[in-house]
Amino acid sequence: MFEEEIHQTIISGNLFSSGETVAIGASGGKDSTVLAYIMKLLNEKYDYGLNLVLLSVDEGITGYRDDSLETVKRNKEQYSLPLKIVSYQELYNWSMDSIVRQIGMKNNCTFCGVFRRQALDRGANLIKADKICTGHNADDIAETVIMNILRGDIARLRRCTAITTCSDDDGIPRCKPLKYTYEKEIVMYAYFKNLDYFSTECIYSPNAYRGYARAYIKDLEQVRPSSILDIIHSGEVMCIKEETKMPVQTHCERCGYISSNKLCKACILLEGLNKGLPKLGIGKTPKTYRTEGASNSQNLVHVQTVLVRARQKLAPEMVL
Amino acid sequence: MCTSLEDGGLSYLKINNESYKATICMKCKVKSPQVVIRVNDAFCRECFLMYCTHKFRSAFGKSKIIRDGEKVLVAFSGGQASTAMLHLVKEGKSVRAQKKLRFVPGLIYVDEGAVLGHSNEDRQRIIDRISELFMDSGYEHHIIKLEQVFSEEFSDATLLSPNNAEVKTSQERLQQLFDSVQTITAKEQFLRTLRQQLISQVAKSQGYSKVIIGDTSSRLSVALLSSMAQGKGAHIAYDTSLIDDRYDQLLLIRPMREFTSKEVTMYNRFYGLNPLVVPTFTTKATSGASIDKLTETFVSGLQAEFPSTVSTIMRTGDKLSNGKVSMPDADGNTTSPCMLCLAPLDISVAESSALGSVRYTNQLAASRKSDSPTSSADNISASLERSCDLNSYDSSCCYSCQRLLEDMPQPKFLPGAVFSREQSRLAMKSYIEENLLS
Repeated sequence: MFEEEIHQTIISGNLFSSGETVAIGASGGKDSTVLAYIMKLLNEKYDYGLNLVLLSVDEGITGYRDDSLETVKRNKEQYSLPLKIVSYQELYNWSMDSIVRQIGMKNNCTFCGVFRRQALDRGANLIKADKICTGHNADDIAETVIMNILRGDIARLRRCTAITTCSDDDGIPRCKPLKYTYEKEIVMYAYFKNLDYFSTECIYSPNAYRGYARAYIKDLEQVRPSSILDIIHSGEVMCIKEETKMPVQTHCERCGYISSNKLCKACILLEGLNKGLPKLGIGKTPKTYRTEGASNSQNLVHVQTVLVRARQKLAPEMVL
Repeated sequence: MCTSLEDGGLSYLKINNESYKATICMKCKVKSPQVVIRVNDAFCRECFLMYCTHKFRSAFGKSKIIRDGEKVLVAFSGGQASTAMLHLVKEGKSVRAQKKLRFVPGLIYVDEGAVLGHSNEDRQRIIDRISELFMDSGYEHHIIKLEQVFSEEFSDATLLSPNNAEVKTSQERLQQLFDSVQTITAKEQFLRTLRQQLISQVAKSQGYSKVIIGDTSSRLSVALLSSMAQGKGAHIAYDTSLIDDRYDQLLLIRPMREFTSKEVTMYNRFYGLNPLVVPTFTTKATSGASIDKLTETFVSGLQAEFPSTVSTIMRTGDKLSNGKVSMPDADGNTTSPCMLCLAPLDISVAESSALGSVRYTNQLAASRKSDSPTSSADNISASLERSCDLNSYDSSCCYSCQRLLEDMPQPKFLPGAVFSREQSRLAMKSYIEENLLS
């Protein structure tokens, strides 16, 4: 039944078409392990005609990612799927360990999150994938809906419930086949199928604010088990006022990746790291930096002043 | 945007009280402050009260929704917010006011004691107090029992002296109906729906075109999240914006929506007003009793740590619209609103959706059940009967009200008004079909 439901989600959502190469975002955790297992099973059973590849991102976190990658490598053998690993070290020349050494335990999830999103896309590009699918489950989506309301992030609120997000024509669409699957079901399925997965919290992740939303979702589920799907329904049917200003998605001038500003977040963060200004890009970016842009490489003096200004403005109480 | 919220640097957002001690009112810069609103804004008594009055009046002023001489019904529950709202209306009508409010207020109180399990003496005590208050105001006023949601019409006579025998039977009927509702979440939602329907019926029959209700921002931000969690995403704007226009020829207005519950409480305190405390379903319950209660605990907990929580939720809500949820159906008729909450239906969604996946799961479960020989035949027929019963509402209720009905095993006890509306809709539909065919 679990399998049929996911098959139904894939069919009704038109997630894939025959002959495509699909990258499965694999972290070694329960969601992505179940996703890899079930994608392989359904692909064979219903003859989707997909070329499945496991895609992992190595953030370079000792004691966490190296262990979970071992799980992914075992999965590769178990499911006989090809595996591609991209690492922060080779993409950005920084591993999470070295980032944390520089900026400390605070705010490091920002780096990790921003870099991971891009790393997945780059990895998918390398293996010429047509689609990426990730193991986000219903609980994750509901949590994100609540988070985005609490943060007032209307653009993401609109996007986050879509089953396939496609930034534009040249971006690689991402989809979430487990979108309507409760976390509970996934855990039970992994347990009954005796799947080999890795479960440890990231050693750097306090993840405080999301923790509140998570606890709220779990409490809601206790009060009324349908709540999680009810929230997703709410997210799907809600309408946003037409006059609301939305960030326009463009491309980063430096790396070409999609971005809401002239420079994408990854490039700003990276610049901060390389120049020894790790606070750059965390919290509110000063307007000057966002509009005029440090991409103006001929005007180095200007960049310098902006950076200094940025540092002054980002006194500790300004961060966030 | 604020991606960095995801990590441990939260301490910067939190209140830092140690360094702050105001010695002077930030508005008049003369008197000593008596109340701190928002994070660090200290006001003296006079400036604070002026600020409240201004906020209340600007809610009307900005939108110009109420015309001179119009009859406006003030929904009064006796609680903090509506006590402050009534006082603000009275002040606005008094000779002292600089610019008088030009509408004609009337007051309404809905007695829900029957379903909240209050004793008859308690109910009478509260009603006596309310009627005393209403008499003092000198405005037209109505004290209605929730039982009257069963009556078909609201003439002056039935409003003033409802038939006692009738009230008694409908009280039993109402209690039976609420006892059959299995969860407190559903009870709260159902009570809200009935109350609003009753108020709107009375308002219409008494010639009011506007109703003002005292929802504060604290209350509305909870309502927003709670609505989301109950699948009402399409109706957030109805439930939380300044104007709710789902009712025919009647506007529900929320002039208190820029007030926090703290401001309202301080307002009442400064004027020496004593709000009534009417116990509800969850007054003494734990936080997990219902979705509303849980959400309230969640939001107030966050608000204590991050003082911008409520306002951020409200601003998010401001960006949502009612949208065009009610699409024309296959025949080209525009679909009618949900028969319970009267908001447009939100159930004509693509197959790939949360609702679609629920339907599919139910379908699978049903086919599994009929396959398995272990379940007794009685069980199946009972569940089938029930699902048929519910299916008849599936096309006429919104997603959230379908959830509500799932918690209510005997929908046949619903007030006649709900059904008569449904029947008249069906009659209208068949009439149209016949005419189109002929």
